[in-house]
Amino acid sequence: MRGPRKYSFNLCLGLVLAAVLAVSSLGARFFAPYDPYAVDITRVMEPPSVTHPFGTDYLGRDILSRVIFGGRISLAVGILAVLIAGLIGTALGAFAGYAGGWMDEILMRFTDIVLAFPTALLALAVMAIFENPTVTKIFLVLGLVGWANIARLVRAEVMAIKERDYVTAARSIGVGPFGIVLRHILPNTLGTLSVALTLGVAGNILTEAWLSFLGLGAQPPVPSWGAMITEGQFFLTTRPWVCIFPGLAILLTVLGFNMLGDGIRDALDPRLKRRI
Amino acid sequence: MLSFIGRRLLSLVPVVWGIATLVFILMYVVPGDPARLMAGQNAAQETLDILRHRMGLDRPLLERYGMFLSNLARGDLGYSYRQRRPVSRVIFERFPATLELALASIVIALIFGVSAGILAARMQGSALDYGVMILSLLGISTPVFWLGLMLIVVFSVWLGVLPVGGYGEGWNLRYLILPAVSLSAISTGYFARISRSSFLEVMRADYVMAARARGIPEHRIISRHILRNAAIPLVTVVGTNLAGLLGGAVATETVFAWPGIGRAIYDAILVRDLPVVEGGVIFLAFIFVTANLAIDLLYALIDPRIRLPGYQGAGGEQ
Repeated sequence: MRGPRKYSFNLCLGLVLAAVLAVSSLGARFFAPYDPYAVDITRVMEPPSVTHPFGTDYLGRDILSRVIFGGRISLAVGILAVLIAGLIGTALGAFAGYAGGWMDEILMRFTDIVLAFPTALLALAVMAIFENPTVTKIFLVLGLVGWANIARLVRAEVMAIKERDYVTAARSIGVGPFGIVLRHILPNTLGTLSVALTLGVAGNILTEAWLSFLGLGAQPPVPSWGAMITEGQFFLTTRPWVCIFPGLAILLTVLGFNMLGDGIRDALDPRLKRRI
Repeated sequence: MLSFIGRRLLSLVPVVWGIATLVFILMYVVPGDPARLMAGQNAAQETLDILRHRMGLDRPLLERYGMFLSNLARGDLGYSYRQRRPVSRVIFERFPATLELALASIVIALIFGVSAGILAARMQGSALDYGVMILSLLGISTPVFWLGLMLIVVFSVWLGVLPVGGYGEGWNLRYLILPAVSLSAISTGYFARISRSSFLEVMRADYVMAARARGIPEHRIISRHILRNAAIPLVTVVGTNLAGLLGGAVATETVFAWPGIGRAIYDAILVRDLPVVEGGVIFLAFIFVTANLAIDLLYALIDPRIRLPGYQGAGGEQ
């Protein structure tokens, strides 16, 4: 069988990339060779070397250190936004799916409207009105606009699970609706949910980088990957490394979470594995 | 079919209304005083009063909301603070370039994505299959603005074969290549993945086997039986990808100084010209929503099952 080996490859590489990001972000102070804010005007725009493996930027700051600290921002935005979206989406989806009837109808109509919005553009429209956009605002906004597909997903799962025998059994011994949803239904949606959330982290990191690149996210001198590329693009033709490394960091991080999400999905759904 | 079109058109209304309401809240309720934004920090009180009156800011909120909606319905998106002309004119002027870029990107993504996906499916398990899968994952993980910058470094700076940016004189395709290719990266990846998996699924369907058993030549099976059925999921993905494409266009147009709506939005962000930003976003969102409507209709043409009222979606075991 060629199939299974490939999927574990996705899962493994995804895990490795995500773990590298997590470890380097948590231990940024330990791993970064320099202070990411330390300006050194005697070493401006140096190409990659032994002392500065990724080179220095237009203020002589060490790019490697800034990339490592930038990982914290990307990881925090990606995860926090997904948690907010996940909470809202799960609550609405579980409620609509379990309650059914007109409640379900109204909530799902609303969800469909939100789903029809282009999410990133919506986030741009919201971020543009702030006089001083910050990282905190980005993850709040991304969380608040990104819940609709999760609500749809959870609702479908809940509707399928609530007809199972063990749910009927729990109901017949007097477990209330909250107990049934929290204890007996939601735990069984975790598999599907984890795939959507992992892929959501990847999407959020990409959107954060995009917003910061447009100047609607982390502001200088904060070392966000997107903002670093904005600063670097003015020197692109002569000093490309200033742009190359933050971009590679975004690419590998997003790739990692996409692979992880794919890997989890294939591991959870053997039917899909057999077929594809 | 007619009632299907009618139903889909009606479903458009709450979406557009929702977007418009949100933008109204963002523009006229949240930022405090639009008149001061327009006149600048040092404006005299009289100027502000006149401006407020002219912009209708001295009216009650609900009345302003009604005015905003009726203006919007007539295509009036407000007035640019900086350019001192209607936002609709800015958009009208910039739209052709954005359309050109978006269409070019979709065509590139369809050609490369679908053919790579079909090749991978035909040679499932081969090195080529793995190569396509990894490349497509890289594609969907790419920050498109960064890819644009990297293409500039390679093709404009090192090789010197393509222009760094701009639109060129007249209709010059050389200026279109780099922005369109970089913008198409994410869609190409998605198209390759989706066409590979749907091709694989259809290839194993009973009717394809039956066609083979009847001795129909392979190229006919592919063109008549497989492609048409495998196209259905692809059409949906084209629609959902459009959101990413239009969003990506804002960054790509910025990188390549491409004179489209995206670049106009970016320039407006820099000088806090909110009406242009929000008007541009409404317009792009509107394009996205109507394009998806058109795709839904196309979908119903390809797959007659979808026209039925209770139909829940293609796929699954029949």
